[in-house]
Amino acid sequence: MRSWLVLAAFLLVLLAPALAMAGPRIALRAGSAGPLMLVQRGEAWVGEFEIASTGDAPLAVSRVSVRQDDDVRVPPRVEVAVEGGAPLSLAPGEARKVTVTWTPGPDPRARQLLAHVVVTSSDESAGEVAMGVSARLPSPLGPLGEHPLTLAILAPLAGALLVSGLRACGRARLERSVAIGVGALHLALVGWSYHTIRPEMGRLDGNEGLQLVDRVVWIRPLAVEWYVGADGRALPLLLLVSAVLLAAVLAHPPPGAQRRRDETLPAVLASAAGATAALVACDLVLFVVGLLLALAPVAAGLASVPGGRAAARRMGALGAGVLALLVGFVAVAYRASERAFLVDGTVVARSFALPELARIDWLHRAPIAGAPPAAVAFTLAFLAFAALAAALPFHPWLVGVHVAAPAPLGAWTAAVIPRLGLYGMVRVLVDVLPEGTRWGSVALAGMGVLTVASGGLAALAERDVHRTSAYLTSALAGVAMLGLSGLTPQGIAGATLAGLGGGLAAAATTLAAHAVAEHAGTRDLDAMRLSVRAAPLVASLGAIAVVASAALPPTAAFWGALTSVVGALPRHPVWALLGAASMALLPVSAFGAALRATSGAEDRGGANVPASERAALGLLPIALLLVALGAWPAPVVGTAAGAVRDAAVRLSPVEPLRPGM
Amino acid sequence: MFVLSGSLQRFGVTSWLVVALVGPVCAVGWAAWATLRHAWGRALPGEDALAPPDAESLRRAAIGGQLFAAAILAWQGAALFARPADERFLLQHVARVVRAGFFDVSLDLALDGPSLLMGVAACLAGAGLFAGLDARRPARLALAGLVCTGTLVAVLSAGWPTMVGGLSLAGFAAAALAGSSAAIGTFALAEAATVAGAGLLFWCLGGTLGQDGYLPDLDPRVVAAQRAPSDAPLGDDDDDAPSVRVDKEGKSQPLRPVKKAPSALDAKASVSLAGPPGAIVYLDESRTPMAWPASSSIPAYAPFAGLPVPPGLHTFRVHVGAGLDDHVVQHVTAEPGDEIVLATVGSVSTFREATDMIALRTPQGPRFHEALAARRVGEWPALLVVFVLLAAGTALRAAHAVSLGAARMPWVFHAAVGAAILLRLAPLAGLVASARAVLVVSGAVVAVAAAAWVALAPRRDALAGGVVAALVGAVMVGAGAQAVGAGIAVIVAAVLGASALALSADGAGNLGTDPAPQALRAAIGLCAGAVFGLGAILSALSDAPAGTFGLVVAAAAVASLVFGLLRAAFARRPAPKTKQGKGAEAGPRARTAPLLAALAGLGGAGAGFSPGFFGGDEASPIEAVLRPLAQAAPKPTLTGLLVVVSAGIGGWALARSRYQSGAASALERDAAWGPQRFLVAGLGFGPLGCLAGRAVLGIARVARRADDRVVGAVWGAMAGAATLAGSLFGGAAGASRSEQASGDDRGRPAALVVLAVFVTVGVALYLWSNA
Repeated sequence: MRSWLVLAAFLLVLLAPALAMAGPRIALRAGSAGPLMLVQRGEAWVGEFEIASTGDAPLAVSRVSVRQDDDVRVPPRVEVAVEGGAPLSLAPGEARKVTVTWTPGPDPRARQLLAHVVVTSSDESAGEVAMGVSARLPSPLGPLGEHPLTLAILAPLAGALLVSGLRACGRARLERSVAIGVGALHLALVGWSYHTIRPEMGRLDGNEGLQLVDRVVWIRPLAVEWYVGADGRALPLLLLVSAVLLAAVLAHPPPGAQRRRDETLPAVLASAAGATAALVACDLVLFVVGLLLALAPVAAGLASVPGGRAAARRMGALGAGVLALLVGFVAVAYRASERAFLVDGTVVARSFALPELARIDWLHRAPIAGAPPAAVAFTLAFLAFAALAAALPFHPWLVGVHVAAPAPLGAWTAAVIPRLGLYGMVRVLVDVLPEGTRWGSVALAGMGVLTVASGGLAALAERDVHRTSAYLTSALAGVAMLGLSGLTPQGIAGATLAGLGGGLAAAATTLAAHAVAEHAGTRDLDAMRLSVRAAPLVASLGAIAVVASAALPPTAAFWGALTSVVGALPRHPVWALLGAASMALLPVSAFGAALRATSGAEDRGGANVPASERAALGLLPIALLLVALGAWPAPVVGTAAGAVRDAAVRLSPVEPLRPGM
Repeated sequence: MFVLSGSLQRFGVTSWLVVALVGPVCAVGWAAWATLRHAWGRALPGEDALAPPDAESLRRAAIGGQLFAAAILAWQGAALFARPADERFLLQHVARVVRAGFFDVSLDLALDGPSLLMGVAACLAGAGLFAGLDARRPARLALAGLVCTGTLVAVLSAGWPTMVGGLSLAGFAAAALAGSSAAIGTFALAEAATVAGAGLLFWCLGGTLGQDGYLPDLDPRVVAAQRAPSDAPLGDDDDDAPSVRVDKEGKSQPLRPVKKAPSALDAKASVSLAGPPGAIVYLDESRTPMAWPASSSIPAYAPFAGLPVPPGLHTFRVHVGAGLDDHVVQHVTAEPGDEIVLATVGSVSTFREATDMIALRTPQGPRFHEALAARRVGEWPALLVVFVLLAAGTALRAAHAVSLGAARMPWVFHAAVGAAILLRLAPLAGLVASARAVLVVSGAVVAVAAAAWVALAPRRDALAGGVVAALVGAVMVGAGAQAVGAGIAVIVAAVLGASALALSADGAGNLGTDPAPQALRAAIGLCAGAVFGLGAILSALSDAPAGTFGLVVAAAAVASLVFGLLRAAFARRPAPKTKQGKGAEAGPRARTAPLLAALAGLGGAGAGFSPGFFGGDEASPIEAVLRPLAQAAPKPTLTGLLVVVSAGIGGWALARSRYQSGAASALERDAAWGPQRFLVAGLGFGPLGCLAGRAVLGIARVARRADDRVVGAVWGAMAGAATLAGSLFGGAAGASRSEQASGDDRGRPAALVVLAVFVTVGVALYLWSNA
């Protein structure tokens, strides 16, 4: 009996290909592995692939078209022509050419094409198959200008490895120079992205409204793609990452003044790579990986500084908690997702691509433990992002980091990590869970207001300069949450702007707190007795930090707060009023701290001045950016116009009645 | 065929308003640079301040910046007055700051009568304060420059977001200058309330906040409207043009369209678009935007006015920018000579667009203002909630001014300018009676509280702030009474007067040891300016449907305010202790004098308010007395006159009582307080004040919404102000002189003579102005 079974299995394996050939079978063949890359011919971009009949029966092809479903997926002027026309019938072994043509025209909004040509045939086993199609208008910078986002992820990662390698080789003196170079390169890449991106582009212009897209299959068995791209919501925060990265490495002490086990530079660089990946990720797995990559190096860096182990443990706990919640969210989203295509046209049962997840019809999914799946998914993701954003009651980790971390690492963590949480709300919650976001917007508003109020009050009562800056920083995150809760274009734009302005203000506040603490030799505000004359640079830039942390003009934080309050008013008027009143605490706290720190000033310019001036040097670019964006934020915020509109339309079922609202 | 019409604000486009900001900004920049340079050790070593030459240069730059701004404004003011009366509104789009959906925050500057007045006053006040500032500390100069710059931005801003931004800049800089945490806190709360109120208004203009959330209107965002003439009477030759216009109070008034004489220009129609700023317009199927000049290829960016379009049926496509759909206005028939206005309706953030909205009407009746009045937030009228928040913001700003007063030389005029937001939006408050009542009552409360504080506070070190706070309360009352022109006048008076008071303060915040010239000027400017505006506000209030309660409260507030100001003006230094250990103010006459003054004020107000206050249709008592002299004068004008005259009598009594209770002894020990100075100042003030008032009113007459009735009332009250000042200083002079002569109060006849002269002059001026 057993031998018969073995024989049957052997025969089955042997005959499987033959069985598979039975009946009509379809195959799509490009010159190389997909996606099909179009090449320029005159004003058009053209590519060809074949539809081949590989079965033993005639193949009927009923439809060959660009995948559009019931919404827009590709830019305009994409045409598909089948040799001999469609529908068609292919004899076994026969093949027909399919020509894909994209005519972008002069000055198109979408400068690249990402599409699928879907083919419906009589091959029932294959179902609908697709060929990925890709094209990209040339950049004057060549490949460097075509893939700035991927390069912006890889550059700091390579920088972190290089810095670690230099240290291992005993070339520690080059660390800071390399890090500054990497920071400058990151800033240049982000600047190029800003230059390239079209602010008016939205979902209706194709490519899911994304620009500068790089998309390849990353982990095929799991259907995970290296899918990065940017819209207007991500770019301001990318600018924040670049600016804070540069400021952090500038504020880092030169080799002679470093501690022996100071891992700050590689930690910041690696974390920058993770943060950049999270900001440009269009694949949920890549997003989560980016978040973890942003968190883990910070925890490692904290563990390397004296007295930082407790804070590192908190960061570790934060990372574990966020990971657990996001894994739960990913699982729920994965369960609800539908059949999709990878970039090369491979059919997958489910996809992690955010644009695909954004098409989930949550209202018609089976409940999870009796609860609507949208609510479950929202709760998991919202808690994870709120914890990252250091919202009440998750803010203690941020306080710990402020107290324990050296200036560069503290500034980086305070400015960027909470903003990743906010970006998760603006991007993932809004795009993937619009129903859940509508359902939970009250929680967003309430938590935002409470975060602002508690941060302001705690800062008012605090004597420790680091803890004061931590509370002010967390309060600024609440402003963005309040704006987002409005679900209006104003609120979403306000949240984006508040994210940028709040991040810059957080970096400035942290660096200023370190500078004054080093200068005064104490963290007690009441005992500082700072003299402006003794540290004029610290005082000058610290003043800007104080104004920014209070969300006042002329700094970028002011416009974010103003727009957030206005944006939250129509949906949550009471919370918006409370939020506005709570924000009044911020100037009191910030100015109060400054007045306390300078009361009874004594001119004690001593040995600590160089250290404080160095910390202030890192503050310089941040302060300049804060004031510049405070005077004229339109160039930065304007890039978000199309994306903000798309997000608002997604969130508001009333929106189509008032286009452009 | 036009669906909508209305008396929309005509405007012109200018490129020069932003230049007015250049001087103050440069001065701030230089002072900031000097601060850094000084701090970084390039100044004289070991010195705590700049060397005098540097300091003087900085001061001159700051003053020059302010005067430069004033000159630019004056020049633009001349251009403003060169335009036809109903086109005196200049607009400039400088730059877009933030745009999120319809929420457009742009640095848009506007100049009309009120902003011209307030702007020039703020610049002059700033220049004066710079003259008294210790320029050896450049950081203080920089902060003070920020106060001036922010105030100027707030004054010239076309919309509330920029106004809030400018005020924030000024308010927090002033608080930092004063080093006052309380000032920071109150101002932050004020800004929060203002943002919340104005933000709520933004949404309520374009939709309804119902139980199911916010429901936007389904109206098109941009509409074509035909501008109706402003005040043409209805004639017999009416044709199919709109026959009714809606005024700012929502009342329908007959009108007749103005038919211009045919000319070559009338062969074409014209189109105007004020906003959204930076928008371009495509005509019909054109792929290129409309250009200006028409023969060029330069796109005409909004705001623009009077772009020619050929007669016929047109479609306009307004392209705002990224993230917003184009707005298409179809089926617009343009007849030769037509003036087409593409008006933005719905959620707007500029004052002009908001007030234009309620002027729009369809052939069936008013289009928006009834809908706006009916909107609710929960159970409350939306406009009521909006104005409660705005009033709270203004009141808190007044508190901020008080808390700033502890500074050595408080910069408080921005707090007065902040009250202008209520005046700008007053036409909207006029749509809902409860909103008007809230403004009147809350303003009265603020005025009473601040006046009481000014009068009764043991220290004089916050006098300027307190006075500004009291006047801000009066402005709130004015906004509730729809007395916009008068409110502007009070703001101007507060700006100038408070700055003069601040200049008079010594190092401890008290009015100084040799304060007579400065303090006197301050008191004169303050009392005169404030009182002529207050009289007009009360006059307007007597006709406003704010209810008897509102009138009572407002009258009490104004009387208290007048009393407080008067007392403050005569309480510059503590009176010497008597042998019994009592203060000089402890005499029985000193106690009764304030009461007399208050009663006088109340009595004057009551006499003027007779028809509405006591009921019935009878003429007020004072009208009955003065009717033969003032047949052509309206009752409110007389009211204003009576209030100030009555308050003047009270002030005179107060001055006398202070003199007799011992204050004069204190004055005598200080030569600066000699009676001659009182007399000279008092005599000189009357004609000078009237001339100044005449000039001011020449501008105020064209102030938007300041109709002839209010202007007349202002002028009448101005005449009364001269009377008041004469009575005050004449009385003091006479009393003091008589004491010198004989030690008793035989000087009273002389004081009465002076008083009579000024009353006569005042009445004569009043009659002349109403002839």
